[in-house]
Amino acid sequence: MNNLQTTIHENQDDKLVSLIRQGNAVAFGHLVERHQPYIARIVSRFLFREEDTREVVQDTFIRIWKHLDDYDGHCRFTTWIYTIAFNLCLDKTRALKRRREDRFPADYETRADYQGDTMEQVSDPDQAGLGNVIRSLAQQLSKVQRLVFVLRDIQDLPVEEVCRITGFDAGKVKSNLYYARKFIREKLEKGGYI
Amino acid sequence: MKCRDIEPLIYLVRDGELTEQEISIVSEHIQNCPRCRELTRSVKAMTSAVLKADYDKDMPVAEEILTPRILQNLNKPSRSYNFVMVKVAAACLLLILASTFISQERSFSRNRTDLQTRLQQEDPGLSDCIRELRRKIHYHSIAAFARPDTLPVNLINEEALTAYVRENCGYNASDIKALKKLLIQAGLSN
Repeated sequence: MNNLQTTIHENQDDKLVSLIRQGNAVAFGHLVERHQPYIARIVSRFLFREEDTREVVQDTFIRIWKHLDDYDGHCRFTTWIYTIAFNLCLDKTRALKRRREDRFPADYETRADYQGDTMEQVSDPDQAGLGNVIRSLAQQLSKVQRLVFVLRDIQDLPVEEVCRITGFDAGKVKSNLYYARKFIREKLEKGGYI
Repeated sequence: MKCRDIEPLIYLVRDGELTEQEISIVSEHIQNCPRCRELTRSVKAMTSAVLKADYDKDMPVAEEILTPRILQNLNKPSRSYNFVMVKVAAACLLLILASTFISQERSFSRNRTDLQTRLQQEDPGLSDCIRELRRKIHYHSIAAFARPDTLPVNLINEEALTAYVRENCGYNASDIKALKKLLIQAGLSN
């Protein structure tokens, strides 16, 4: 997205926010339609199971609706909603851990394991298959490592944006990125993916 | 610089936050070090794979229309809110945590002081690697292995530190045992 598109996008958000603050639920519907696909994508990269993703996406927008008055424009609107989404991801991970449901469905140790398991279900094994493997490996990282890895490496957000969303300082982001990348690289290499 | 100092820089080079001097050190090092050159290639391959992978193939939720469902639930009480008892419990928990934290901090400082005294004495049975780690603990320069989720008590990510010892000292059971003892003494592990 170029600068002009970003500005247009942000202006539309500002207009919608202004209408929603006046209690306009239709405007809120438009806001959900605009941001739901992207929010769902980033949440699904943090949580493995589809039903958890759906629940967190829904809760994200409900929280946006209830706390929209707290948004004071000090950061981009998208940064604010990503922060809400990721805080809810962390809450969800804690809840799943308490209920011991944070097990990911498959740990594809090697490319051969993966091919034997689900390769037939994907049309483009080199890309879609690898995406599933990386999501599965990311579930084995600590919460903080997974968070910075998803935002920085999968979503390709700049480090300073990651800091704004997570509230971590750059040092914490980078040290966690280092361990996350090291782990993912070693596993991908061991599995013959790279 | 040694390979172990260069390695984190290789992983972080894509973030564009290394100084020109650091970039130059890394470039010079990998020209002369086949191991780090291979690591650089592998890290680049990983970066590219992570960026290009398709994460949405088996995740139809991104394409689902959740708007009606969300709008229906807007005015329902949130699952985690509006429970007075929860708020009271949270306040009590905060009080307990605050008092535990103060007591832990005191004990942590005491342990550090004790450790500094003990570290003055050399133990000939320890390997060079463990001695080096002991010096790092002594000078509090072991933050690279801190578990961020335990700040400010600053417990150590034992898995990362153990991996470091295995890599740099060889797989040595007595080193791991000595390391564990050191961490407990330093109040950096439970």
